[in-house]
Amino acid sequence: MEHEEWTLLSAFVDRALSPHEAKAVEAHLASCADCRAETESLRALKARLSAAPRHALPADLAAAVETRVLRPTFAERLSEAFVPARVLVPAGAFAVLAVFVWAFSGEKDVPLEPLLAAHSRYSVESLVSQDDLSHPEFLADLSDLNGG
Amino acid sequence: MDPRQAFVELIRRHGDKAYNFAYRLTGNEADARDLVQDALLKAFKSRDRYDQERPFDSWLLKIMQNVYLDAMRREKPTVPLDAPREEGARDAVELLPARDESPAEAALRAERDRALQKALDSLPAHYRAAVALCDVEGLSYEEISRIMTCPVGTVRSRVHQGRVLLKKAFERIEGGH
Repeated sequence: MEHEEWTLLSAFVDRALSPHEAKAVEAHLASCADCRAETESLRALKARLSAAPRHALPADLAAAVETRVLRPTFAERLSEAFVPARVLVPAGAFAVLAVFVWAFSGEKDVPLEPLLAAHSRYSVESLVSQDDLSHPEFLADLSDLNGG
Repeated sequence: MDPRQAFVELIRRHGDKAYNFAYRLTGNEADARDLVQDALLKAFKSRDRYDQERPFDSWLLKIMQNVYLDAMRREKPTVPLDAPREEGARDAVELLPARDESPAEAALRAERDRALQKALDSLPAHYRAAVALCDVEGLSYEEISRIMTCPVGTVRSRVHQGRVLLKKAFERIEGGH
């Protein structure tokens, strides 16, 4: 096994190889003393690290963080008291848009059929009945929409 | 349960693991305390983004790793994260007590721990983190790749290279281990 392939030995020790890879490494180890020695060396190092003493979270630090978490700041209390921004912003934007449309839409209702007809002369017959086609109000609306 | 109280319960359950990783990463108590405090408060502020399908401790360790690397980049922007670190001050370590341990055994254990930390300190940040997560915390390559935000192949390479460098460091510090 080449030196650069020794990363496989670390992964082998960590049981992080596929079954196929692990089998290939096992077969190689059976005939290579250098790689067996390297594998044992890696196992011993891993064992030393995993048995290393644990460092405990200092009690005063734990208490300080817990106190901070349990007692919200003024800014946090303010933000938690109202609807979160991700709801407020789109709701507010919708409200503004609705008011804008209402203010500027005017009282005149634009009929749907002439509007569609003005934009699609090939479909006017399917949208508007024969009687309406010749109705003066319809013709006036269509003229307005066409800038006439 | 109140979400704040629930978060406090998570701190109580996972705080020791977080601090142990912080200590192995920073090499001293003062920096470990700062790192853990920053990471815990950052985790609390972004608790809405925590995916409850994933282990909480891995999510916390990922935040801690990012906070640590950001601090290192700010402190020494010209030093690459793959470069070895300067040695920091050694602390009188506060270790979790082992059962039925005599004072002499405790002193020896503390001495070996100092040697271990000195060896870890000599590693570049990425290798130190990879070895600490794999060998000290016992995480899988997949969990480590999520914490370090890198492919599993990179984790495999960093773990191995970290171990190679650690062995050389132990030979220097202890004359073999």
